[in-house]
Amino acid sequence: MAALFPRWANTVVRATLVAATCTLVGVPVALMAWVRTPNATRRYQPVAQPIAFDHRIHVTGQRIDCRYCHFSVERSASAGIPPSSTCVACHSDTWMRSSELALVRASIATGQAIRWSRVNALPDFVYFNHAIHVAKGVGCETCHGRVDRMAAVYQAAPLTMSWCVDCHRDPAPHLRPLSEITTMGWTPPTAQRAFGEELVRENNVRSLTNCTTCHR
Amino acid sequence: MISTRAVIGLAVAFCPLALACGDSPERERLDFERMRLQQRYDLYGKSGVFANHQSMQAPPTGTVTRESALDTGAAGTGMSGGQPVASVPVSLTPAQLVLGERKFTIYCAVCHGAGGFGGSIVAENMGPPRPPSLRSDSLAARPDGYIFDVATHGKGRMPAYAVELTPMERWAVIGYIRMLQQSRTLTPAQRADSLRAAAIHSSDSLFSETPRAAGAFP
Ligand code: HEC
Ligand code: HEC
Ligand code: HEC
Ligand code: HEC
Ligand code: HEC
Ligand code: HEC
Repeated sequence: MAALFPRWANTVVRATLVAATCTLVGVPVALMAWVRTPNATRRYQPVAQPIAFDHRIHVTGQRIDCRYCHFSVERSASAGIPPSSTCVACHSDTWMRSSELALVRASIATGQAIRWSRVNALPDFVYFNHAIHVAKGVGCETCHGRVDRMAAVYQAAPLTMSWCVDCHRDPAPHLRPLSEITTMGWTPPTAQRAFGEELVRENNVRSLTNCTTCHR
Repeated sequence: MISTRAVIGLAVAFCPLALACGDSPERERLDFERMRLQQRYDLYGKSGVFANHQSMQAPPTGTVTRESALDTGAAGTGMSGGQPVASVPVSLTPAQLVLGERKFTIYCAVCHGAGGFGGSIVAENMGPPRPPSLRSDSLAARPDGYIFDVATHGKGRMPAYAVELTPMERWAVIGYIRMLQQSRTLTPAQRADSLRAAAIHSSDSLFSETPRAAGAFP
């Protein structure tokens, strides 16, 4: 009886097996790599805002502390976007009148908030809290990058679960003294590891890795 | 036959992925109920219910918080018998003075300077009348309740800081300002502030109150 398959069918089967294995392994690996790229996590993409608000002018130029504008950061889950009344403290009609600020004045007149576009956003199933991080010595820079050098704010950290959990497992390398929370470009006075361990003891920093810490 | 079915199967399996990876603005909605976007109001979110389309609404005018309703004494209002209280009506611990320094540096030093002399980068950018020195003799003679009133309700061009600072924090700031007024030694930042204040206020003819000269302090 003649062979049902020609000899080269063996090669085809082997090649198919290899290709199938590559696909089965390769596609998930490629997808897992993709979701970690800055493109998928939307890092480093400046977000257009209704007013060309520049953190460089205000933070570096005018030496305004982050907490002057984001004033709820120390006591609530949200850092808060400043209300228009915070801007008119300095940009009142007589001081520093600028056409750039027409929207702020309109917002004061009508009581309608300015519609800033969100930059950092977690999915709704994640619970995040600024106050605890700030109170335990995680600086703004650690999660938001050099905001003082951003013309338009962009998302500096990946904000993936592994990013959060990596720090929660071992916070010591990321901690700084409570007086330096809003400092940009802070460097530890001694080796960060030993310095961080010291701060862990001083501020009683726990390692929180239960799922219910962030998914509640 | 099998291969055709496999191809169709694979195509169907990857279809949702192709959709999910597309960079459409509706991407958050098209993620097949992963609960990334839940039906609830977030801070700063949109609302279809209210006229101004904001989920965050200002409380109706005249709303009184529980704390402020309970706190009608001197500690909450800075007034007693219609007059500003003469001295801080709460006891300030050293830890609270440290808190006062921190809050002063964040909220007041922006305009009044790190040493309170009225010299800051923001003050330089403002036209006159500029933020005055908080170390003047006239302010030193004022009652503590007056500073509390200015911090709570604002004065002239100075905005109110009642939202940013709790009454206790405002008293802590006042304690720190009084400490500044009494202190004669300056940190380098305060010295720079006093020099800057002398420079900007002396070039400012509209400014009536002469700030203390930089040389007045060692
Ligand atoms: C003068 C007021 C002001 C100061 C000071 C200020 N910010 Fe902001 N910040 C804003 C405003 C207004 C926005 C919203 C517009 C925008 O995103 O640019 C904002 C947005 C942000 C955002 C993005 C928010 C989002 O949507 O995710 C971050 C992060 C941020 N600020 C961090 C900081 C840090 C860190 C500092 C201190 C180094 C700081 N800010 C100082 C006013 C201020
Ligand atoms: C503590 C004072 C202060 C606060 C608060 C503040 N600014 Fe400013 N802002 C300044 C100063 C000072 C400048 C620089 C003016 C200059 O250099 O001419 C400036 C510049 C600007 C400019 C550029 C103006 C131009 O003509 O190019 C914009 C836009 C602006 N601010 C928006 C805002 C907004 C929006 C807010 C509220 C979130 C705000 N600022 C809060 C002090 C402040
Ligand atoms: C542990 C990391 C971390 C630290 C530290 C941190 N942030 Fe954030 N920040 C985030 C995340 C994550 C979000 C997005 C929150 C969300 O989507 O609910 C965010 C959002 C914001 C926003 C947008 C408004 C809001 O509250 O959602 C502002 C403004 C902001 N941060 C400012 C600051 C400032 C100022 C500091 C320092 C005082 C700071 N953050 C420290 C992680 C951090
Ligand atoms: C750079 C370090 C760091 C990063 C990044 C970080 N955290 Fe944290 N987180 C901490 C520290 C430190 C604490 C305080 C632990 C303690 O209470 O001692 C904390 C506490 C928390 C708490 C408070 C738990 C409670 O008991 O209230 C929540 C919630 C939380 N983190 C969520 C997140 C989420 C979500 C992310 C990612 C978006 C994140 N964190 C990223 C360091 C970090
Ligand atoms: C420190 C905070 C933190 C802790 C602890 C944590 N998660 Fe998460 N988790 C996150 C964040 C942030 C995201 C969103 C990541 C993103 O947007 O890609 C997430 C996403 C997820 C997702 C993906 C949901 C989806 O559809 O994308 C699952 C599943 C998940 N977490 C399960 C867990 C489990 C199980 C645990 C406990 C072992 C856990 N998480 C602990 C912060 C945390
Ligand atoms: C945006 C700039 C700005 C900030 C920030 C600011 N002030 Fe003022 N302050 C002023 C100006 C301007 C005046 C002068 C008001 C007038 O008389 O028109 C003033 C006046 C005062 C006076 C009255 C001085 C006198 O001799 O009568 C006191 C007291 C005072 N400020 C305290 C504070 C305290 C406390 C803070 C912090 C919580 C603060 N200020 C933050 C701008 C500011």
